[in-house]
Amino acid sequence: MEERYNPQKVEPKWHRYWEERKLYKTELKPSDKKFYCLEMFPYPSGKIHMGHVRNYAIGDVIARYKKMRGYNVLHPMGWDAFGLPAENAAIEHGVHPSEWTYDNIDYMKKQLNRMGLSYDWDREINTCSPEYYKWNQWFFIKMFERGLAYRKSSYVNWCPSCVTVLANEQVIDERCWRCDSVVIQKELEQWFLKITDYAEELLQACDELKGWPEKVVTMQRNWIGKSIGVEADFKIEDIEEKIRIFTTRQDTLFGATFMCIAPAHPLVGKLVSDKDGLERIRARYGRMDEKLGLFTGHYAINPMNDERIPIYVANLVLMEYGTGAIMSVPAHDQRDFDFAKKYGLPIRVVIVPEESTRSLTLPPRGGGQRWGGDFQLRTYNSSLIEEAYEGEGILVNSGQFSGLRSDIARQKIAKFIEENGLGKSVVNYKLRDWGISRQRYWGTPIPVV
Amino acid sequence: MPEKDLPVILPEDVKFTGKRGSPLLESETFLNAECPKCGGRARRETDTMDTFVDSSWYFLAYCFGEDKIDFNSSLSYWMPVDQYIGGVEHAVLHLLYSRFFTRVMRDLGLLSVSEPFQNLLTQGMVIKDGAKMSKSKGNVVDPDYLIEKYGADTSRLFSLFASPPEKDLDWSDKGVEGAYRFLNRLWGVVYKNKFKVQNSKFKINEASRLTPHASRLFRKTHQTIKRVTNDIEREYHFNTAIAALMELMNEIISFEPRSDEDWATFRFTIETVLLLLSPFSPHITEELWEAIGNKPSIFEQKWPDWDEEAAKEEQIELVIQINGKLRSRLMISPGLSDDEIKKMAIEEQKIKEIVGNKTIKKVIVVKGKLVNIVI
Repeated sequence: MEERYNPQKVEPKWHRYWEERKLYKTELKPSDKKFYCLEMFPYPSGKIHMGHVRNYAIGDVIARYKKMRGYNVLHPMGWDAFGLPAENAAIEHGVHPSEWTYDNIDYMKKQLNRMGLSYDWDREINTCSPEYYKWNQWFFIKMFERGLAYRKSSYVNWCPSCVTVLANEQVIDERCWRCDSVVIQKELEQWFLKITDYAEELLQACDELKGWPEKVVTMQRNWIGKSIGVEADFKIEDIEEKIRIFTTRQDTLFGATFMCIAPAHPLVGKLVSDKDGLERIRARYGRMDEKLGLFTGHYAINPMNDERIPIYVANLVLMEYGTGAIMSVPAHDQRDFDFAKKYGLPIRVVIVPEESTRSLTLPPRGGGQRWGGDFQLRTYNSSLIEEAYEGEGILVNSGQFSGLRSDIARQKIAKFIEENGLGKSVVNYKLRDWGISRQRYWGTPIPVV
Repeated sequence: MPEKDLPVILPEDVKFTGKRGSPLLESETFLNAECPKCGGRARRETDTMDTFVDSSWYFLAYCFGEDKIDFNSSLSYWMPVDQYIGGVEHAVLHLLYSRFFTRVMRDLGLLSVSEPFQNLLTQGMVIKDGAKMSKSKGNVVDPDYLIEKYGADTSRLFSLFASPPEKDLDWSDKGVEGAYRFLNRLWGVVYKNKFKVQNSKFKINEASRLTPHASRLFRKTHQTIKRVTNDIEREYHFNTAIAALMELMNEIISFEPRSDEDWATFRFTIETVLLLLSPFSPHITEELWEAIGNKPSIFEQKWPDWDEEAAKEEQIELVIQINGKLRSRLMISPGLSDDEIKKMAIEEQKIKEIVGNKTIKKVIVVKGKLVNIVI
């Protein structure tokens, strides 16, 4: 033993010892209690960074501690090795993605070993090896056989810079999560995995995730995004047709001052005579940065208050979502608000924030009479508002539902619609099926001929 | 495609131009396939899978072990993952897809669990100069540099000591130096005493037979085992666990062993520190474990248990006076603040009865001896 502490001498000595003794090799021991400790595997980007050091140090303490407490510990490591950076490196430096990836793995594995992490390297996996990705293909076929993988032509989020499709989850504020380019909508044949079949179960089971941080569980719940909405029919004036809309904000129904249908909506042929105008809308279909509408010349009747409201064809209404038609409530939806301002359409406030009502002197509530109505009309001059109020609140200008809180109003209005044959309640999830097709080389080939 | 024709191998001989989309579109050998149904000419799908597919089940692949896929015994033994650790940026996608895949596999009869991850720890970011450490911000510390300068044990110890795992870690060069100094002190104390420790074969049978200063160290050691174990068990609070070890280290350094019992206590404490520190800084603890005459590996040792009796604080008897007259006595642990002692004295049953609803004018604490209440 030397007098001075010299980690450069001490540490390699024990790396050799641990490796020679195969100290971290794990075997299946059915009679022993097990502990599976796992850190998220890295993308082999080239070098590890301090975030990795921290992540793996935490995992290693837990693994070593549990081992000393007598558990049979599984503590493995591997490589999330497919992905775009390897392909970009190939384009920029002319090195094959495979060579680039394997070189990085070699280097990073040395780095991890220098950290003295107790991995069982015999179990190392590498997702870009055929031994691994053949199982991706096998699962895909199994899912296909069960109807959980299907192909459909659809509009997809397309990143023009990465030349590939993005999942909804990879679009952040209408931009690509990786390169920040504005995402456009493009029609493509795509393979999807039917995660929506499991939406309800995935949501219910969130209650069981007791060992997860509450904020992560909330994010899971919000992503699945279950809501009870309604499908409601709006009659078209002068024609024997109805337009069915879907909304999760039925508490704002009284604020619908116009409607929009998708350019591919089945009634477009009947309603639109300006074919050139329609073409212009179609050309910009799904472009979120530019809101474009065309008045059809027809009017619909709002089923809640029998008001006549104009029907537009709009590029921002997608046929893939809901029913391909929306009611537009400019006072309470920013996109509808922008559209209304652009085309000079009326805006009517039907929800006021709860806190603002407290500061008002309210007329007496006696005799079952609800406040609201004309009183609120004067207070909230709709022509003066500068942006939509998308939050919850108290209903105003909403007939018999004025004065109710949004959440209660949603239940009552849903019931009203069902009872009066105006539509039905529908469970809706924000979660969409998972589009897995990527127009890329460095990934698992989809096993289809 | 039929299962038997798997895998569809990604062809290696392709050119990367960055134009016209995927290079697979220009690979004739890849494109041309035979229709598995009719044997006719067919075109292969050129799209590849979202890489999130790869990571939606990789935790199962580790269970199979070396080169063998076994969807039965090994999976049901190892799954679910007991502790999963990673960044919060994966809180939605990766976790949701993994939960989905696990359920599909359950429904395919491959797996009996529905949830892949029993416990999840999302560690905080590494912050330097007020911003997340990143290449673009130019505030990166290279782990290679750190390991070359201080070693892996220091790097690990610092990253675990600087903050609890779920919180952001604020980078500090001073903190790294502090961790390095701590390991140096540990090395130094073992180096200085290693022969004595190696030769100390005495067994501590009864703590009561120890000299007062050894008894104190003995108690502190048991207390430290308890603290470190509880800190690890509860929410993995490694930072406070390491702080407890540093405190014990101070006790060791000021301890001067004289008798056999003293040396035995000293050895017990050193061994305990090494065992408790080993998950955090594995190399130095292996080295010192060997240096004091033990057989490697330290990781084949059992985690130490504490003795609740031995960990108990010594109690001091305190006299309570009212207007200078002895009225009651109180047993307290040392190290309580004056305010805590005052509160305990006033709330003592007998004192409460005597004081009744009279106003307390003053309470005087004479440390370690008495409390006088003036009414």
